[in-house]
Amino acid sequence: MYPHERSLVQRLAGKPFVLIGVNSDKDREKIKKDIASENITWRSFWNGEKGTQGPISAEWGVRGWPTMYVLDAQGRIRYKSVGSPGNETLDKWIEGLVEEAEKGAAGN
Amino acid sequence: MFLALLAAAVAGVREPRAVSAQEGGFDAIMKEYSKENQDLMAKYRAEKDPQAQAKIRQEILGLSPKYATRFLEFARANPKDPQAATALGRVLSAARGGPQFDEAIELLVANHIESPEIATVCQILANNRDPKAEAALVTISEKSTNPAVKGQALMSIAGRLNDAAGREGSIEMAQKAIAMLERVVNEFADVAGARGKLGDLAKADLENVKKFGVGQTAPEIEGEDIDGVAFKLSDYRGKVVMLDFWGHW
Repeated sequence: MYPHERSLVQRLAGKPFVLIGVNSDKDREKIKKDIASENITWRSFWNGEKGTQGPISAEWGVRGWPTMYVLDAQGRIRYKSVGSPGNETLDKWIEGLVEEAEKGAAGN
Repeated sequence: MFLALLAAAVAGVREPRAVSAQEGGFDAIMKEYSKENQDLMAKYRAEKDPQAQAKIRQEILGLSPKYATRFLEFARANPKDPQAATALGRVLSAARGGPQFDEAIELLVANHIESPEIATVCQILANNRDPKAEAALVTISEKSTNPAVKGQALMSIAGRLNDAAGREGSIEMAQKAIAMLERVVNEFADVAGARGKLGDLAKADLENVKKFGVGQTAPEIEGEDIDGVAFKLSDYRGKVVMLDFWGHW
């Protein structure tokens, strides 16, 4: 998954898009190292020491990993998938909403 | 285990079960299936060569479809046997669309619409993305008069709708899921499901869909990043956000 996420972040650099993680690893020091070695450039909330039982995923009712939500520029939940929906689908969702955001910004 | 408990709970309303040769037939197929599965698992664990292991894995995965044919034959030959409902559930979890799936649904609806075991079948169908699974759940929810079956069928339809709403980006589907869950809360609250009372399960799902379903404004997240720096989800308002619940494991 990381290669595709990396390419999304690179391809959409400068566009109104951001990838935010909610990392659910228990060991904060270990995940810091993994983030460096895997060249993960995007920011993540840390779900805390309880890992997948942490407060953010509990609040959101997340039961499967990965789970992804795609929000539009107004902060509305537009898509959700438990497990990856597939790279092509994910690209289509995000690119459609980025286009919508750019049009919206141009109209203001 | 769940099936046994559920069967025991409703034993009072079920016809007494005659022990027949046909029932022995079902148990015999189950026994054979379990044995073949266990043998293959043991073989898999003992095997060191990854290529040979992959081959055994394929054989294990092939067991469900292979036995689906036999379970279907059993249900076809013994349409009124209560165990046929369980057999058909096995067919449905293996067949996922196709002619076997169609026939299993047909037999279930024709002969077992009131069987409490259909509640379990509904849970199997909830995870099946084939449109036929949805049609089957709708039929079951409309035709059955057993509250356990009807309630579970509605829960399963709501679950499928909610998943589909996320993948299709459809507010309309999310609203339909909400309506379905509200029906469960209003009409089937006290029905026992596999994980608790349907009313409690539906309320929890409702709360989640109303807050985190497609079309809702994402609630704020205030937290810390991996380096301990505080930030908020709303810091990124104005941008499309992919919020990825992930772990490196």
